[in-house]
Amino acid sequence: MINCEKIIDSINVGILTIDAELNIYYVNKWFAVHSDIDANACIGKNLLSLFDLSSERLKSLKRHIKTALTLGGPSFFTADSNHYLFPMKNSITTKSIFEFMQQDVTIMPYNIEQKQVTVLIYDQTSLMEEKAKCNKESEELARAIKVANATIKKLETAKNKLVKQKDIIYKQAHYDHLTSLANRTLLTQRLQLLVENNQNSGRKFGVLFLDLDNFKEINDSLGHDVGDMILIHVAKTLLLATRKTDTVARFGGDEFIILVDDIEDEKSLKHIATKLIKAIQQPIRVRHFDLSVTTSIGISLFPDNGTDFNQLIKNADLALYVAKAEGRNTYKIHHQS
Amino acid sequence: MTKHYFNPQQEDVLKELINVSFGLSASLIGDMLDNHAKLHIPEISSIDIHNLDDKIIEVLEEEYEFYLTKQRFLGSFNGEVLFVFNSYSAQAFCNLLLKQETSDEGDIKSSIMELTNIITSACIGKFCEIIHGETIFKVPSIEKREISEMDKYDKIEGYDNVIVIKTALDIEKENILGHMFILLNNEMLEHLKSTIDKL
Repeated sequence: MINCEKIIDSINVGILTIDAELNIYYVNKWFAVHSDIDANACIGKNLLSLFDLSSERLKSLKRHIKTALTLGGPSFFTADSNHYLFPMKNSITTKSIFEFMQQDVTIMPYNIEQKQVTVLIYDQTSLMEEKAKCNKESEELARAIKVANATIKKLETAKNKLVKQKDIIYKQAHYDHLTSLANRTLLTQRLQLLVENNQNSGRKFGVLFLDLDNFKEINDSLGHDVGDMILIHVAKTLLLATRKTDTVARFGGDEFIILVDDIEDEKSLKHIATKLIKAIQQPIRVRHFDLSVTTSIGISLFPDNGTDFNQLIKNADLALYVAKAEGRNTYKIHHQS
Repeated sequence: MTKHYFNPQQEDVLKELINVSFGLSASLIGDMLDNHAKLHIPEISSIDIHNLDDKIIEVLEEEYEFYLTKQRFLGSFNGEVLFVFNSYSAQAFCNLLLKQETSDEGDIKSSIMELTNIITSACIGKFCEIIHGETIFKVPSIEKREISEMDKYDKIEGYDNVIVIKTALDIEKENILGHMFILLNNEMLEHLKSTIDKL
């Protein structure tokens, strides 16, 4: 013969039989030990004489008893959402983070006519501790991710700032601050590149050396600020009159150099020079005055008039000298004498 | 997405059974809240288990966060019941139950568990009764989920079919909307259908 009571007293689940009025009919050994009560002495007592249940817990317990009795099925409390129903202190030696045992509670109808239910209590403290630990780790991880994301964002901002600064430094080093045209440094690089690229291909490119006619007089009579405005205007005109692949540089003062790549012959350069002279001599409106500026242009041709920077610039400058001597507002192509 | 597991006659009987269990539930829910609770006539549909996530997203409409309860039932009639409540309905029900303006996460979860416990127990209990089956309910669980994270949650396996029951509960001026998903394998579905046919 199986001794059911012995089995019930040996299982790791709390068992309690009560009625709708919370009168106790039975408790197993587990329940008595964890509640620190005498199993036999509590029979006939009211549950509220053993436990100090909060009004919310009490209401909830009564609702669950009613549900179980009405539906004839189980009603559940879970540790996850309720923590515990019966305040049973956790042992100090277990050093639990929870003061009270975390419980899953199932309320089953026992005798519907007598409104009796059986309450099964499962200790879920370890599980809830693990869960709390996991949640804590998840929160720490989430915080770490947040910090990492913020750091990434800061680094990206710093990187963008550096890229911008690098861009500014590059522009300062390679472009003229007044006209934004290429400066001597960039001109030298571009011309060197053209020489390297065209050396073996046999292709030609032209160097146009421009100098504004009588610009010193304009500067002296109207002031440097007007002179600067004219330079800016001329720079824009030169950019508009040339191709994007050409290099327009401010060589210094009122001197400009244009590198025209991939040309057929001198004829193409003559055509470009004529176009530039016409474009520049268009009246400029500065401070309610219509001013007129002209330019002289000296031209050298790679490889006919030089194969390096100095030769090509020098010969274009010589041609410019001739153009100035012949009355200005004209161009000259260097010819080897 | 919708499948027709039940013919119109079977669907009528099923609706009637659920309606009876809903009536019982409404009375208990009313007692819980010290208030009159009305559960609307259930709207029933069926889907393939593979469409479960899409259906959950569909029923939540534009709600981003939701509460999901899960409870398995074992025995000669077995399966699993899921309940989905949008955040608004969950919060509203909890406030009504606890008679307070705002509620914390623990209160909401505990209230929704109590509500779904009643409906699940009534409904599955009724099914068990008609098929003369025995069932044991496992301890339910509840969690808050986000639609955007749907791909990351564990998939539910071992079932083929889902009966979807729209659960609309009127309490005072609030309309609490939830959806019940009964997950069954092919054998259980056939068992239920053949029992319904005999009724």
